[in-house]
Amino acid sequence: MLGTFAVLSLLAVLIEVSIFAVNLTTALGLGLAIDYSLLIVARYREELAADRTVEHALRRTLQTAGRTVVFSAATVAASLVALVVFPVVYLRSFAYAGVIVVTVAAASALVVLPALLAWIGPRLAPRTPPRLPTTAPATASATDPEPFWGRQARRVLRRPALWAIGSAVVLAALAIPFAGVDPGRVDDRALPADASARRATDDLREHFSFGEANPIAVFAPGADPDDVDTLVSYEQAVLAIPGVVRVDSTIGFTRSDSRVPPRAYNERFRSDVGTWFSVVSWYDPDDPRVDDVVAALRATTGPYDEVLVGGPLAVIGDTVDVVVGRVPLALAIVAAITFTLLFLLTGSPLLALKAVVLNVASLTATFGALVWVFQDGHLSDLLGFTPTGEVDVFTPILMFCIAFGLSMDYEVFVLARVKEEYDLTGSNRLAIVNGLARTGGLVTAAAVVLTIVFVAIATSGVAVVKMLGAGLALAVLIDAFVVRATLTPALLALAGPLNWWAPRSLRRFHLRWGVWETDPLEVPS
Amino acid sequence: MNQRKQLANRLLDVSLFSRCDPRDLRIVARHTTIAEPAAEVKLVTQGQAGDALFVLLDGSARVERDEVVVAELGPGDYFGELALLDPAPRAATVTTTAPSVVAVLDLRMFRVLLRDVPPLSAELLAQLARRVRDAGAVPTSAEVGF
Repeated sequence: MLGTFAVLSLLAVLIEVSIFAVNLTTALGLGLAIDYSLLIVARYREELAADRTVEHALRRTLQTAGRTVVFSAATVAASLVALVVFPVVYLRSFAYAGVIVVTVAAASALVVLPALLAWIGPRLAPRTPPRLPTTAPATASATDPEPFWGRQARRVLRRPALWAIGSAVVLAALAIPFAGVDPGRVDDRALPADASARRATDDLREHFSFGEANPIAVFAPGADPDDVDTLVSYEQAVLAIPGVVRVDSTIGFTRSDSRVPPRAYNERFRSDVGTWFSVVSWYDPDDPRVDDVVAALRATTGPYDEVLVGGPLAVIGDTVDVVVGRVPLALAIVAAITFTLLFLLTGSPLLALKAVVLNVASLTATFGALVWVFQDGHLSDLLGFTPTGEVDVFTPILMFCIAFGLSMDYEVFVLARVKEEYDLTGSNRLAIVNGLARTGGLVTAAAVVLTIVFVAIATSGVAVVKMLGAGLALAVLIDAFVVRATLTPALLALAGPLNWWAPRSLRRFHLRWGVWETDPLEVPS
Repeated sequence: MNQRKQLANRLLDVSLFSRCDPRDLRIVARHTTIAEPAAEVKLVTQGQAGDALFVLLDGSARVERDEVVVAELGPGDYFGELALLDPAPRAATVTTTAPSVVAVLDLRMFRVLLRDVPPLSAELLAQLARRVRDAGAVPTSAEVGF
């Protein structure tokens, strides 16, 4: 993470980088570092258990697990690049930070970690040999004790339709509240109840006209600040908008039924380039009807050719609109990149499609649960936050970056192994059982460690951070235990040979240009 | 001409790949490792598990079964396929008798190519059938009357 912070600091000299990129760096960097390190160390121990020297074991580890790390990192980084489609600095920062953190995590796993392993030497060798052979798991004898995840895969394979439907129902039930998501921006209520800013704003909200504290700014470019008739005409038009209570300008403080003459205070509306109006609404800033007022102000030009509506309330609405509007494009890019890279890994259009669909399903379920808790306010007393009736629009996107990255990691680990087993055995069933047996433990261990970290983040007093931590913990758990442990093997079993089908031209393309993770050959010389 | 293309051209002379077209051979070449063992290097040891198919591109090798030389191999010959098709221990030891160049295909890619490059599997089956017939283990169709 230190490496990523250093690169981000350099980047901040050249372009604007959001402070929230640090959040992404911390969570995603930690997650990927744990995943990659577990993968490398697990493989290294396997190699040591096969009586190889430290140097030999490290070389083989980097040739195999190292290649998986590179591929996984490339997939995650390429997908995060899609965030540059959002014309918001905050989100573009996620793309920069995401690519940097992935690169640094992979580089650390491939350079720093092997150096550490070499220093530690053969002491990491397992006391008992691994329970599955490294090269031909399909030939493991019937008396070998099978890892838990192998047994779980067999359980799923006995009734794949039942497990698939059960898992899908769980995901769907969690996802349903997402249909009612109301994206907004974070406000003071995200802070702990005893925070100074929170207490002040709560009092304003409760005891005063809160709209006064949050006026909407309207700028009329080129307008004459001394042209009283035109100013009055515009203000009357604005006051006719439902929800508008007062307009302040160079001519005073105007309500629909009265006007207070201007004072020195009103000179601030005067400029050489035009004039501006401060529009006060009846509605509290968190009232959804404020969006209607902003829209009506944009449509009401009155005597002017053009008016520009700004201020924090308009910015919130615009930000939400622009972010929500670009989500489909970003998702399409991520899906296309993921599909292409996973096809290069597996050679199977169906497996690549399944990976994309399951990732989306897993994240939708997580977002649904977050809406139920943080937007609708269920469990708010237990978790200690104030529900606002909205979900901060940036948090799901930040979460998407992190959870998607981790989910893709697990997907690459599992699919690479399942594909290898299928290539060796030609059996879909053995590929599922052995693939899960050889990766289930790793994925579960990584998920449990990450969940503990994310739960710690969720204990924050700030609701947005709490939501991020809780959401990520849930995303990792759903991904590891529902998607990887049950839904993936069930769908693989149901699809049967279709998993490995591809048009002849695509099969040849994959053979020629695909990514093949094979154990390095050792030819005597 | 790049290395892969050169290797693909050299594989043209190997009987196992005789039914493959140039595109098939480029695929095979992509997944093949080239090794250059010196003389008297054991490439395959009788009794050990098989993990690769070897194609002798240059040089020579001898095949020993129970320390008895049973064959001499030259450029274009291949060995090691039986242990890949049926996961049993290697049936013989193969040792180079001169500095050699071998193309090596690992177990996984051998099986993938058998599935995805039909001309390769067809030729392998044909050659195995020929060897079985030559060894007299199975009567020919003529001998059994059909």
